[in-house]
Formats: sequence, structure tokens, C-alpha cells
Amino acid sequence: MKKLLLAVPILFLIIVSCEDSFDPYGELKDQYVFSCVIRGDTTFQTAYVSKSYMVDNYEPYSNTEDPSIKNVQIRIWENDNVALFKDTTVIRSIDSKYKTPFSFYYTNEYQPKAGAKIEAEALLPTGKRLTASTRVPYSISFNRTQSDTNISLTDDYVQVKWQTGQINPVFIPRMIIYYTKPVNGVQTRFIAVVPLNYVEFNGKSKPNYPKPSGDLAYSVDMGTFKKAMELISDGDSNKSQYVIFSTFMEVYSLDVNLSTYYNATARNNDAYSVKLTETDFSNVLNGSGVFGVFMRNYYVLRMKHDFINSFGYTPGLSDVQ
Amino acid sequence: MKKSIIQLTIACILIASTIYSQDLGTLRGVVTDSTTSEALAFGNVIVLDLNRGASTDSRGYFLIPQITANKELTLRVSYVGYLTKNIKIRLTKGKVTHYNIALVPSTIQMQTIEKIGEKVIEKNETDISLQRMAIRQIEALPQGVETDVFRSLQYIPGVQSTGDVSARYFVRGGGSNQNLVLIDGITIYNPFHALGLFSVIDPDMINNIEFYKGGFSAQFGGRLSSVLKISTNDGNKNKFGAKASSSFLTGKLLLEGPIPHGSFILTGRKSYSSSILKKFLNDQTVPIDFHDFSFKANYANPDFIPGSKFSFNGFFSGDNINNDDPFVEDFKWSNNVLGFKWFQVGDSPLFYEIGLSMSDFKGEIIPKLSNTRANKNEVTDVGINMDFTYMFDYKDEIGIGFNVQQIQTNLYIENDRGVTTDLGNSAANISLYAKYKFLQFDFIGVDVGMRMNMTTLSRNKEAESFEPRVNFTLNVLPEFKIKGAWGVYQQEMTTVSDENEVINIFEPWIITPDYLIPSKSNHYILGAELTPWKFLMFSVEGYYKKVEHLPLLNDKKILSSDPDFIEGEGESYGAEFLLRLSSDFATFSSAYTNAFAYKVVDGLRYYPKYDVRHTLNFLLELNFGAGWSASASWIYNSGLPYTQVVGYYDKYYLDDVFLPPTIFDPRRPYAMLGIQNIGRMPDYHRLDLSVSKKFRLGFMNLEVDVSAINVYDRKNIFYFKRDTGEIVNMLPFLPTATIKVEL
Repeated sequence: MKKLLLAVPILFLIIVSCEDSFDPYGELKDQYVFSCVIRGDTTFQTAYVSKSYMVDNYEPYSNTEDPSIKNVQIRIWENDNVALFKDTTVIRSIDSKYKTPFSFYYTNEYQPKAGAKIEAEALLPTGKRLTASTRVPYSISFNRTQSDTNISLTDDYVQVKWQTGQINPVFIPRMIIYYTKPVNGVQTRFIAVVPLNYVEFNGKSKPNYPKPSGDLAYSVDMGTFKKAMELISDGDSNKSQYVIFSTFMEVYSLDVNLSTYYNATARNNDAYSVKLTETDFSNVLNGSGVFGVFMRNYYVLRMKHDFINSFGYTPGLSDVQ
Repeated sequence: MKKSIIQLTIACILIASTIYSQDLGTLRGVVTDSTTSEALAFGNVIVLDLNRGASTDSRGYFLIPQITANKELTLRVSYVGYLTKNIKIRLTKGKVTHYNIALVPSTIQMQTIEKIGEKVIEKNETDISLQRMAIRQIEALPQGVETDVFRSLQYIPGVQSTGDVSARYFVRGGGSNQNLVLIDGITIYNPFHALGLFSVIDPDMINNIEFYKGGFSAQFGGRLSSVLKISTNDGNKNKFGAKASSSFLTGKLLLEGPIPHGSFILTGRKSYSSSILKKFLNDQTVPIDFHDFSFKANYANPDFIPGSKFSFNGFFSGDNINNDDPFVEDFKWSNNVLGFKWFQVGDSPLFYEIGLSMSDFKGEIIPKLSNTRANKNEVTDVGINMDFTYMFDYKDEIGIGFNVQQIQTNLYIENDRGVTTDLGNSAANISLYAKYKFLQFDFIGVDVGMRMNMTTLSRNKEAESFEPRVNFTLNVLPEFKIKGAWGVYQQEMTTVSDENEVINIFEPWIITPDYLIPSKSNHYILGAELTPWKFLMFSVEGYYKKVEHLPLLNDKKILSSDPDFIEGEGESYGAEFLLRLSSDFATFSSAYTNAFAYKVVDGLRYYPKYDVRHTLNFLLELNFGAGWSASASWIYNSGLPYTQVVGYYDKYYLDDVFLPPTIFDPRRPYAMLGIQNIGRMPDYHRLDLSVSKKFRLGFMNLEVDVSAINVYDRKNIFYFKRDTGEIVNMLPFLPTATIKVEL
């Protein structure tokens, strides 16, 4: 009995003093990743192939060995036409964890046709083949009768509307102002993004940009537009050196795979829920990643000279009649 | 339909009346606290001359048939913490004789918890898997910030949590949405404050708790796993009183007092600081603000309707997370409950209760300018229920009930394209239950019942119409009982909850979509209870639970046409051991559970996140007298399951589609997951201590409680953040204090 009475506290102390190790990792699963986002507004397309890796501590960013795979044959088929990708490298940014150049594949000979079904295949050096397919979204057409064509001092708002034949479309719109200013004596081109509105918080003004949606219009009030214009030269008294060209309404339309991928990666959970998994989506057979297309559509809004001059800027184009 | 129910009830009563013995009488009574007139639930009543007794129910009522009439007998009424009272009684032949018995609280603080809920008189009570608790029992436990009913449940064998951060509980391998929480018989849909960290139920409003871990009888329906039945206080019928208390988190106020032929009680609680929550939420500041408020008024006027008692009660809770930042979303959720009850006892041994209720839940995520999707859930549950209990003079009982529940749910969810859709539904459940309690022989008690769903919430044709239930107790020896239960349970509502979330804001409720068969479980329970001496009790219970058609959120949903839910199965089994030693000075209890739980989805079998193989806890409660008491608890769980990382890959994130392609390298490590929940966390253990002192200061009664959670600061792992590699621990060493003032 005495032994039992002694054993209980000893057992308790042993349990209490034990610091258990925790290994969150299982055995490495070999996985190949193919990422190829085709842009509809250019013939220059890129792709990236990599493999999975493991780290030997809790820090997922601790891997410094470049996981990209070289010597992959990548082809994109659109009906009977095929585009072959070549491999190349570019220098990474200084703060990249990888010290070797960034390896990727490219072609500058392929631009997708709206509505076409396209297929991609990546043949790895090991003989493994990753495949994916998608359909190019239809181009949109801007509704010129219901959209503004130029911007003047008397406008209350700036509005652009468009239409599409695509079912369940997803758009990412952006309104930008093209301008130049001298940098080291050279007139350099910049863009200023016009948000939906500005929101005051903690004494600061924060831009509120549009979220991807199926909306077929973009509209900003003139107060917001004017503020975007003013911010171009914020803190600079020499306004006239800023040359304003025009406003572009860019509307990116995403195919179904890319919009699903975008929603799975870029749209987050609420601020307080703790979820142990991240939603994953891939349309790549035999691997992970995404093969998708987005089309860039744009619409030009000219600005009247008196409007540009009202900010002290210099018009870069001829005046609108 | 109503007509047939009334006819059935009358028939039962007539049958009973014909066999009612004319030589004997029936003793009925209600036992209350002499200072407040609050009902004393689960106390013991015994007619000494006949050695026959009964226990009081949750309303303080008792009924003992077949008592010799026209003879003076001695009735002993006892309740822990009160002076035992012997009263002389004389029954009228062939009639029910009613006694109101008020017990005086013991001036010396006796051990307050060991016998509450044991129903020592009714040896054949069919109470397997039932735990009865008085609020004092819960208050005696070490407190994490403040007394919390749900956290206290986690000391009971078979009840599991996924860590000490959350108050959510899981019973015998069932999900947290399979637990029915009733306040005075009304369902509370989301009974949590502050991201599930605390329950909404203010302990000051509680009179007693009955917790069924499984095998519950036919009067309860709508959930697969457990029932938590909370009966609230009526308020002091003798004098006006007030209580105020404060913890690191909330301030509370209680007002009570008499009204003509009745009493009232008001309780309110409001959070005033969220800084303590940082200990629970990995140092994250959450601007949470919550409150709850309850009221109850009672009216019992013998000149109006003799034997009647009317009560009107309400419960309201609300939580808000309001962020000043317009780019961070806001949240709000609330419960609103109203109920009216008419309880009636008559000249025959018949009790009946008629109730009207309304329970409403609203939860909303307001995205403002953030990326979060909008989400709004509304549940409106309006019900009428009638319960009749008739006790035959040979002690058997018949219970019949009728319940109509009209439920409307709305769940507005914003999809990927910003379009809002409603997953809501509206339907009525009309159910009838009947049960017969065979209690006439002391060596055996059997409760046979059936719940019949005349209409179901689900329009799926395979919804279950009948839910049979059986419960028995066999007294093999006076010190040794064998108990068992079997039953079929159906649940037609579910939550839209992600299994991979360890903390969430609230879980939206919906009626199970019609394309799924409502979930159904079978409980098989067998147990034994040994009481060789008055101070020692040992029990063991084994259970097996099978769940079919378990609705689970479809985490593979990609297209809007994909179903939101898929169907799975659940299975759990285990053995629970409980040892309790009690004396006037101390109570020691120890519980061990060996349990297994599985889920099967798409043919893949995995452990749910709350599957714990071994649970062991020790609880010591000491009462030193003079207002001093202390408690200590040590809890041990073997590791919780988790899903291992089987590698990373550099995932392409579409952070900004407008960036030119040549400069992009927007890749970050993405954790690939292995087989779901195949890994196990390190073991969990924790020691908590508590000391409290009650004393009088002038015209006030004061109680100061000091508790320390996780005394040796064990680093129990809560979860591993795969994207950053951070290990987040559960509660650290946390000293807390509460002060109560009573006028």
C-alpha cells in the first residue's frame, strides 16, 4: 500500500515533467505543380513547373533549394494549333529565399481566341505527364451608349458599362489614369488607380478597390476621381511637370477555372476563425496548380483639357471636342 | 389529431382511476428552500414507517402512491446542505394529499455536492447516462475566468472538448451540433459567447441541470447525441434580493423578489473587458462585446386555478464584434427566447404541463469593405408542447406528450461572384411521444417509449417516423445495479460547420437539405453501478453509437452546382469508469474513459477532431467550514488527432492579376495534407486549483473565489499554423478571481 501511495505522486511528477515533442510532418508526398495563366491580351505566355519539398523544422519558408523543374516539354493546343514553350530564367528579387535565378517557361507566339477550348500538357523529364484544359472566356463589349466617353469638369460621376455572352462570368475591373512625370530628367510613364471610393479611417484615407464579381458596370463619383487625380502629385508643388494622357477602364474576365482558383486563394476567411486547412483547387490532372485564362478588355475615356488644367497638370493629348 | 391525443390521455386516466385503490392514499409534495422558496430538485423524501420514498423532480415535486391513509406517519425530507426535516403526515383515503415542505439551509456549510442528483431513494430509477447537477456543484469546480456550465460538463466521463480554449463539447463521439441545449424546455441554437469560448448561460439563473449523455427517453427529440436540460430559478418568493458579481471578463447583476402569488427573477451579464480573451486567442485582440439577460415570473394562485403554476420566461443574448477599421468585417449574433408554461397538478396523481415557446437565432457576418463573404443565418422556432404524466398507485408511470414545432431557417451566403443565395427552408415537426415506466417492483425499472414523427422537417421520404427507446435498471443486489438503454434518434437540422475550423464565429443552422436523408443514430448502452458503502460509488458504462446519413460540409465543392453537403457515417464506442468517495468534509472523484470515434466519408474512414482515446481526471473538493472551501482538478487526455503535413509546394497566388507576367513570382509555401487526422498531438494535461471564502460584511454576504488554471503551465498544443510554422498553445497558467455580493 505504501508503495502504491508513493507510486501515484511519482507517476504524476513524471507525467507533469515530460515535455512531449511534436512532429507535424508525415512522409513527403511527391507532387508536381503546373501553373500556367494565359493572358488574352498578349502573345507572351508563361508557365512554371515545380515539385513538392519538405522542411526539417516548423518554418515552411526555410526551404532554400529551388523546387522548379527544368527540361519540361510544355505545349498548348488550340484546335490543331500548338504552341511550344521554351525555358529561361530571370533574376529574383534580393529578398527571395532562393538564391538561384527564377526558372520558368515561355512562348511569345500564342494568343488565345475568345471562346476556344485549349489544352495544356507538361511532359516531365521523368516521363510523367501533367495535363489540363479550359475554355477561353468570351470578350466583353463595352456599352458605349450607356458609358461616359470623356471626363469633364461638369460631370457628377464616371461610369462604364459592358456586356458579355458568357454564363456566370467573373470580372476584375480597374480604372487607371495614365500619366508621365520626370524621373532623373526622363519623362517616365506611371499609372494611378481610381478606386471605388476612399474611406477615412484613423485620420487616413484608404482606397477601396473593387472585388471580383459578375457586375457589368463600374462607376465612381467625381469626388473620388478628383482625389485620385490630386494624389498623383501628392506633396509635389510642381504640378505642371505631370502630363496626363487618358483614363483606361480595364476589365479582366476570368475563365471558370481561374475564377475558382482565385476565390480559393485570394479570398480569405473571416478575421477570427481559425481554420487548419486552406481551400485547394486544381484543374491539373496528375498534379497540382492551375491552368486558366483571363482576357483583358479595355475602354478609353478621354479627359478634357480644362479638367486636367484644373489640377495644374499638363494635358498629354489633344483636347476632346 | 389533437382530438385523438386528448382521447388517449383521458382513456389512460380512466383506466388508472378504475384500478386506484380505495384503502390507500397518494402523497404528493413540493420541496423548497425556506429562505427563497426555490424548488429543491433531486432531493430525497422517505416515509419512515413504510421505508418507501421518492426523489423530487427538477421542479421540486414528488409523488408516492400507495401510502396508508388515515394514519399518522413520519415523512423525512433531506437535501444536502439543508437541515433534514421530519414531518408528521396523514393521508386521506383514495385521495392525493399535498404537502408543501420548506427546508432550512444548514447554518454550518456542509459538503455541498456529493449527493445531489443521486436519487438514493428510487433504487430502480432508469437513469443510465444521466448526470444531475445543482449549480452549487458547478460553482465548486475551479473556474476558468468564471463559472461556465459547458466547461463543467467536460469533467464528466464521455464528454470531450477539443481543448480548453473552447466551451464546445462533444458527447460520446458525436459532433457538437448533435447536443440539444434546453432552457426551461426551449431550444437554444447557438449557446455560445465570444467565438465559442464561453456558454451564454449565466449560472446565476440556473436551479438545476440534467445532462443525458445518451439513451435519453422519448420526451426528447431532434438531436443525435445528448440533451442538456437546464431548469432556471423562480426567484425569491419571500423577500426582495440582489446579487452582483464581477470577474475579469463580465459584470453581473441579479434581482429577485416576490410578486402577488408568485415571484420574479432578473439576471443580466455584460462583458466589460476583452483583454483576458487574448489568453484564449493566441494574443489576438478581438473587440468583442457580449451580454445576456434573462427573466422569469411565476404565478400560482390557488383561488384562480388550484394546483396550477404559470411561468413566463425570457432569455436574450447578444454578441458583437465591431471593428473600427472599415476593411475588417463585423460580426453579430444573438439568441432570443420566450416561453410560457402552465404546470398543473390535480386531485389525481396526474401532472401536466402545457408550454408555448419561441426561440430565435440570428447570426451575421458583415463584410464591410473586406474580402470576407457575407453570411447571414436566421432560425425561428415556434413551438407548442403538452406533457402529461400519470402515476399509478402501483408506482408505474405513463407519460404522453405532444409537440408541434414550426421552424424557419434562412442562410444567406454570398457566392464567388458576389451573388447571395438563400439555403433556407421552412417546415413543421409534429411529434407525439408515449412512454411507460414500469417501476412497481423495486428490483427492476423499465422505461419503454416511442417517439412518433407525424410530420418531419425534412421532405425526404426516408425521414424516420418512429423512434423507439428502452431504458432499464436491474437491482441485482441492494448495492449493485445493472443498467442499459437502447434507442433510435433522428436529427433533421444541421450546422454549416467546417470540421477543420478550431475556432469559428458561430455555426449557422439549417434544416437538413431535402436531397439528404435526415441523420439517424442508434444508441446501445450497458452499465453497472456498485455502492458497497454509503461513501463509495463506482460505476462503469459501455456504449456503442452508430450514426447514419451524417450531413457533412462538402469541402470539395467547386462549382455552384455541386452540393453543399455530402453524406457520411459515424461510429463511436467506449467505456467510462467513475469512482466517487464522499464524506462530510471531502469528495474525491476520478473518471476514466477509453473511447473510439470514427467518421466515414466517400468510403474513407477517419478520426474526427474530438476523438480522444484515453481521458482521465481527478477531482478533489474540500469543505473546511466557516465558509472556506477548495477544489483541485487534474485532467489528462491522450493526444487529439491532427492531419499531418506531407510536404509543401510553392503555390501560385493570384494576388494581383494586373501585374505584368515577367515580374511575377507570387509563390508561397502551401502545405499538402496527408490522411485526415492520422497524426496525434502530444498528451494534454492540466492542474487547476480553486479556493473560495464566503463571509458576511455588514448587511452583505460576500463570496470571493480565486482560481488558477494550468498551475504548472503545461504547454498543451492547440494547433499548428501550417502557413507560418507557429505552434499555438492552449491556456497558459491563468489566475482568475471572482467576487460576489449578495444583499
